[in-house]
Amino acid sequence: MVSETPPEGSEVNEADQSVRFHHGDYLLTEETVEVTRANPSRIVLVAGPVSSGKTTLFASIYSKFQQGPFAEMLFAGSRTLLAFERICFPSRIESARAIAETTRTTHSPRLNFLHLGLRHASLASQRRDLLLPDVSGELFAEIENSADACRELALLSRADTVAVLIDAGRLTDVAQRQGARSSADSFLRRCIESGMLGAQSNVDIVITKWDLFVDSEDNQQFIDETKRSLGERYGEQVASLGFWTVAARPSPNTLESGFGVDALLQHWLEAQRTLPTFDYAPPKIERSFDLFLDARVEADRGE
Amino acid sequence: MASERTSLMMGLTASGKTTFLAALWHVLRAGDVPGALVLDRLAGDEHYVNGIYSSWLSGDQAARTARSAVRCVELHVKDKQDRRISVIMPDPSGELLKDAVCERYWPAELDVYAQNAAGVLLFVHPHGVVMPHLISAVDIDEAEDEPDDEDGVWEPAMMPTQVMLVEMLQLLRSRSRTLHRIALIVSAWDEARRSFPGIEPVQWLDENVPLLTQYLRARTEYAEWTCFGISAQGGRIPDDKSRLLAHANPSDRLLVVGHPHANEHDVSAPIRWLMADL
Repeated sequence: MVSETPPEGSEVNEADQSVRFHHGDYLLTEETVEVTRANPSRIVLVAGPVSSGKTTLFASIYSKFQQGPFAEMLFAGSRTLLAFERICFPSRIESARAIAETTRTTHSPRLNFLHLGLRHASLASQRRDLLLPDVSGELFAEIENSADACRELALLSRADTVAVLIDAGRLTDVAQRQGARSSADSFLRRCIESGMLGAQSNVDIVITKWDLFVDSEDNQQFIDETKRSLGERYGEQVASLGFWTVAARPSPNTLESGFGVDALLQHWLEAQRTLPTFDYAPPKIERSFDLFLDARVEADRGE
Repeated sequence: MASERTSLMMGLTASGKTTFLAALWHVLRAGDVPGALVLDRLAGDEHYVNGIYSSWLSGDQAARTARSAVRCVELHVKDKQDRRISVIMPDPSGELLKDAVCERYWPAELDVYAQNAAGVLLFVHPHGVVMPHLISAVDIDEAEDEPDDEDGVWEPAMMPTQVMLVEMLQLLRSRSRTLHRIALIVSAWDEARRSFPGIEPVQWLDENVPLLTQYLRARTEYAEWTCFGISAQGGRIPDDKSRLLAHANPSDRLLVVGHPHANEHDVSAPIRWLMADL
């Protein structure tokens, strides 16, 4: 049994010695430090227009783990269980709704994060923590339009993956499809030209609500053209550009619940932001102490 | 000199903690279950445990533990190797633990026990498991109830059982530096087994509280864990009262499943496992 210092997250009331615990709700940016410090972590920034399915995607992942292991992973804890439960509630019978819904992300000046601890079901590897900032559709639109807004979202350049959502229902609607593609294009262009995405960035284009895709030659051609054009324009400017289709909560009798979400989750857990490389010129060694220090460094590297 | 262990009982309201304690008290006193722990000597104050034991003996339901209460029972026992152990068993009310999850605090008294607990008995009652039910999984045309006109408002108390139990363990984890074993106990195991013949406790847990079992499997660094199916009452009260009282030996009412080396009436088996005696 490995002994470890228990995680922080509780405070003692000096007056009566009762204990106040961490709120269990969304984490603020400063609260994520505890998470990233404790375990290998992945930050996946999911962005998209209003109602593109961001929060439904998060709710779907969490709901799948409530049924059992998912995407070959085991649930290993969460510091934001209350937040997950709140966003899932409108999709449950207990909410007394006739149709499943998702709590809409309200626009906030502060980033809120969901947290999931996961571990491969084989237990062969260490636990990995997934941090999911919940970015509002309004902020997505603002970033499309403003370099300042783009640069203010510092997480864009630090996330291991930036996932841009496009609603399949809009892509197969003649009146909306050009706008849907243009929106994703504008967002990516803004992020790259602002220097927030670049050669170290992993980018995913996630087509959501795939159950709404109307299968026709014309629609399939438009999807293919969308992939081609975005790939050509931005593929060489980022570390990786992937395309995914999901249906987190499909309509009855269309696709299985969580279609494509398992593969996407596995991909996010594996993708890691490429660290920048730089040319290192070792200092000229003259003193005896420098010789000793250099030898220790080499030994620590195992070289 | 006896060694001392704190074994904390946790679980939601009516999960079987108090009935288990009463049955355990019987086994310790009776000394008639092979391999079980036995009472070495009496503790100073046994009002509480004798009170719940009296109800158990007469086939009555024990009174619910008061909301704010953290009853604590001190058991001075011997194992089959004649080793003397003092087991401190805090029995916090289910409401107190639920409040910890929902209101995000617990009292100092419970915190002291939590900090010193080397083992936890975590109770789950088959009748008390609240599972998440997705609207998308229900055929609206076949639904028996019409949805209400007003949408429900979420409150933490609505969280599924497995989420509450995981959070309970996470809160404990944030306070305990000594915890290394967790025994999951499925209460009313006689009923669970009747509903699903041949099922083992771990299978029942995987099917009914899968988030909890994933959490324990994944967090190998947290604590070792195992599970037991236990019927500490032997039947339903008041329906089966006459049948239960007909046993000449009350120990025969008890059913313990989960460990190959434990006698089927040995309700001290989870305690022994926590102490690494099994």
